[in-house]
Amino acid sequence: MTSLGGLALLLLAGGVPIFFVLGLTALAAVIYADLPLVLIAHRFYTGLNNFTLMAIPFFILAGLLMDAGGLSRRIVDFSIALIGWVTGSLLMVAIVAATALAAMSGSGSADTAAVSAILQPELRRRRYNVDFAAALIACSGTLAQIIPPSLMLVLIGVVNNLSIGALFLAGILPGLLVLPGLFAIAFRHASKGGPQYKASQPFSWRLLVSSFIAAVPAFGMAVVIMGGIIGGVFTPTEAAGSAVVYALIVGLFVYRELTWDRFVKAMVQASAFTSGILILVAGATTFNWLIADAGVPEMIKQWFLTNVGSFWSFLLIVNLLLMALGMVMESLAILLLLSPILLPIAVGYGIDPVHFSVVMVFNCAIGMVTPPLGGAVFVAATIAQRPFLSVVRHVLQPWAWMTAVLLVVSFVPVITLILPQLAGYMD
Amino acid sequence: MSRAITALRSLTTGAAVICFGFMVVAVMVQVLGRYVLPVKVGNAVETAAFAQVWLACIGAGLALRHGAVFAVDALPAKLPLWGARVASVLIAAGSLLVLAVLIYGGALLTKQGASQSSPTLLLPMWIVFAAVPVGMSFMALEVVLRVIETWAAPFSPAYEREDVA
Repeated sequence: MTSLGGLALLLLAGGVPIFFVLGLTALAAVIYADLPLVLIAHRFYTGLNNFTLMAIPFFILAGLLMDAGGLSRRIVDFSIALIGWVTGSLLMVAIVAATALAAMSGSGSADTAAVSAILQPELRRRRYNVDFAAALIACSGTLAQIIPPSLMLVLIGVVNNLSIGALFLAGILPGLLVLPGLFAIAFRHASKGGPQYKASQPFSWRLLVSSFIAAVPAFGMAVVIMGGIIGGVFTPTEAAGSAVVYALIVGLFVYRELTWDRFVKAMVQASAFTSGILILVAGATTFNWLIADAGVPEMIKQWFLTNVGSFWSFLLIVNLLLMALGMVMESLAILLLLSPILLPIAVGYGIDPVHFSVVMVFNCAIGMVTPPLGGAVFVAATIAQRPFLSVVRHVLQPWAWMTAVLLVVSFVPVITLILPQLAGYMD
Repeated sequence: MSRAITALRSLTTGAAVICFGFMVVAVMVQVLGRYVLPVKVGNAVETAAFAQVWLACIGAGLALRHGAVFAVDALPAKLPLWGARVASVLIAAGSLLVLAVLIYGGALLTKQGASQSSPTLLLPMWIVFAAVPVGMSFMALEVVLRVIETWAAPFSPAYEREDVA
């Protein structure tokens, strides 16, 4: 198994797509264990034939339809009216808008793209530091992975058979805890910047009310998703499907911005992105089944329980490991491959699986802005039409703050567990 | 040749989009079936999950084309052109090996599926299992085309993340 791990790392570093790395490693394991080759195709199929997993494609499509149908723009407009009067207003707007979008969309990249695309022209016109703004938007966009609905929370719930509703509620407070620090970093940057950061529009109740009324149909999406799940009306998959239909109706009939071309583009993008994620899930299902069959998780569990005395040390090691992996690996792959191994160990230490899942997802969200991979920074830099390196050097401060919050969330479980407990998902 | 490829790509993209649309409709029928319409819920769940299998398989080539099949290509991107070309060919060869195993296994499953039925709708299971060999065959074609189309700059970011946010 050690040689298989070495093979996987070698292939990854060599640029082989993660899906094929999983496939080649699984193939080597099957040949080594003298198992029938058809097993790989069978496990691959089993990984795909999962109804709960369907929430992922639906949340992806809903996010793209929000953008195409004008819902995202209404939310940004409202954010501008709400907070556009303070120093460094556009930076604050970016944070508020990304957080509001996070409550409706499950994809950090989609949120980052939406906020960047809408705000970049204005950031340039007002001569803001575009690189800093792109870095801040990327960090704010990753909140979509922590604040529900989140693709990563769905994924970790599906792979480890946990309640998606409980995970969604558990992600709310950790996500919101990130906000004050991001505001402070943005304010500090704006205060030290030139006069352009102070040239804010005056606050207007009239504008706030009108933009809020315009954004009400868009905010309704959050009510459909979270209200539906918590109220017991929908399962998470059904809530995600309903969010698609809701975004479609609002974009077509309320805002009337969803044209046929935009709709088709959103469908094609969603299909491509969904297929990429689903085959990765299926590949990981095959891989995880093989390593479970070989008893690897049990071996690792025994090693930890023998050599690492307290759950504090375990959590610290896990956080450091995930952060290191987040620098070079796709967050989804980390969750898919490591959560089935680490979660039972965490439970062995008495850590609640929901709490541990949120810690893992939070860590992976930070991985999205950690160089050299930093997928969310890549998206923000691309839309800002700036070099990746120019943007990524501004990530350090928000990254450090998010890491500090992660540590607090890791070692104070009540922050994650209080809402699921209050809602009756847990004792 | 390029016309045939374009037509094939349009066909697979269209099929993936139709599967996606079907999934949305099936899940909404399930919701409406529970609260409004006299529809058996199990039917929707089963067909939606089958459509998801087809979407993932038939859309895999589309995902590859749109840069949604994730890879860590920071190291090979630093290679000189000849090295990058060798790396892209080797990666394609490894990818084709995996796809060959999936196509072979998928074909066996499809054969077995001729005598199996789905639990709720009693659909012949070969219809669902066939997604694996068919979809992976299209993906294999895309793997080969990718090597050819990116021959001038194998790890150029312009090819990756073309459309996917």
